[in-house]
Amino acid sequence: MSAKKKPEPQSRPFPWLCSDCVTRTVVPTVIDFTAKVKHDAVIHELHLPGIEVPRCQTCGDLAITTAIDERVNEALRAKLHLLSPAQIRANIEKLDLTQQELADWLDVAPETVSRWMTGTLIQSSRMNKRLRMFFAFPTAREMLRRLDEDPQLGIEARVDRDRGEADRTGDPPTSAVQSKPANPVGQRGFAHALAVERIFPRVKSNYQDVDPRRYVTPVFSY
Amino acid sequence: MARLTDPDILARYRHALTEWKVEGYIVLKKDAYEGLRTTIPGVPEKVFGEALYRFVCEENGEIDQVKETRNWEPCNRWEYHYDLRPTIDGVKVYVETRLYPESFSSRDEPEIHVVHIKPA
Repeated sequence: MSAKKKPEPQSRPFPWLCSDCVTRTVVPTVIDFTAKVKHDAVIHELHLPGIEVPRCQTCGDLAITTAIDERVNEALRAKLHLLSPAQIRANIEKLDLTQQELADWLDVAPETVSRWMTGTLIQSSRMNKRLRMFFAFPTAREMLRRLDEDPQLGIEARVDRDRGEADRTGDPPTSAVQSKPANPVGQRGFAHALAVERIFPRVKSNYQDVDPRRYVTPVFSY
Repeated sequence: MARLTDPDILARYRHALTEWKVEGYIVLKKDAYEGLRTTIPGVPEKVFGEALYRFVCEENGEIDQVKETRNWEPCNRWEYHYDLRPTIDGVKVYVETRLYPESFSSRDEPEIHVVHIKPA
């Protein structure tokens, strides 16, 4: 089966008119192009070296075509690790999903999925992360399925003690209590580590050298 | 500022917009392009051209014909500019354009140059 070739965008023949100097001297010129584009409320400056841009040979003004816009989008996607329309399409196909199904999973409108797939809308970084997680991890899809099936899930947080998670009830995680002697947290116990972390949240590497009682009780040395 | 009602100018403006799929009929200057990508981020240039077409030709959206009073270049090279305020992707935007040719006697095909895009 031969792959469908994307039709080349139609274009008026050059030279085009420059609306600044009103001369018909705009022709494709290879330049280092820089554009400022906004994504997720942040402005990104993108540099595209050596690309062909219609440029006025009289005043130097630039005209932006669809091809340049697509190059800018590619550069933005590469910079922010955003999935491309082709990648989204391929993943949907691989998982044998419809656009409607993916839209339902992600709680977006089907039109939004369609626009991501055609490249007429660039997904937000937040939505991109959800897409990547959805495509990358079968467990993520399973979790979403379970959430749909059981509306009670998530009402009460569950703590996985086997993975070292602690909750606010004060019970230490299993791994902290049973940790090996080489672990500085384990050497002096969980309560010690917790106290140090509360006092020095950014200097955890010095756990074993710090006695938190020294800092909890004021020391007067007059 | 007055709504463009001149049938000849309106016809030429619409003619340029109907060619939105063909490069060179709706030309975005670099400043306008950056305005587009910061005002309605995520909306590609080709979608913008189509949105202008829909606004004017399908929704009968308003085009303001504005006599050019700015006396500096390149604005003073043009007798009028044309302002549109379409809503694209849920955002109302101000679009400043120039229509070429200004003269009815010209045989050139009409084309629209987008010079400025910002929130309306």
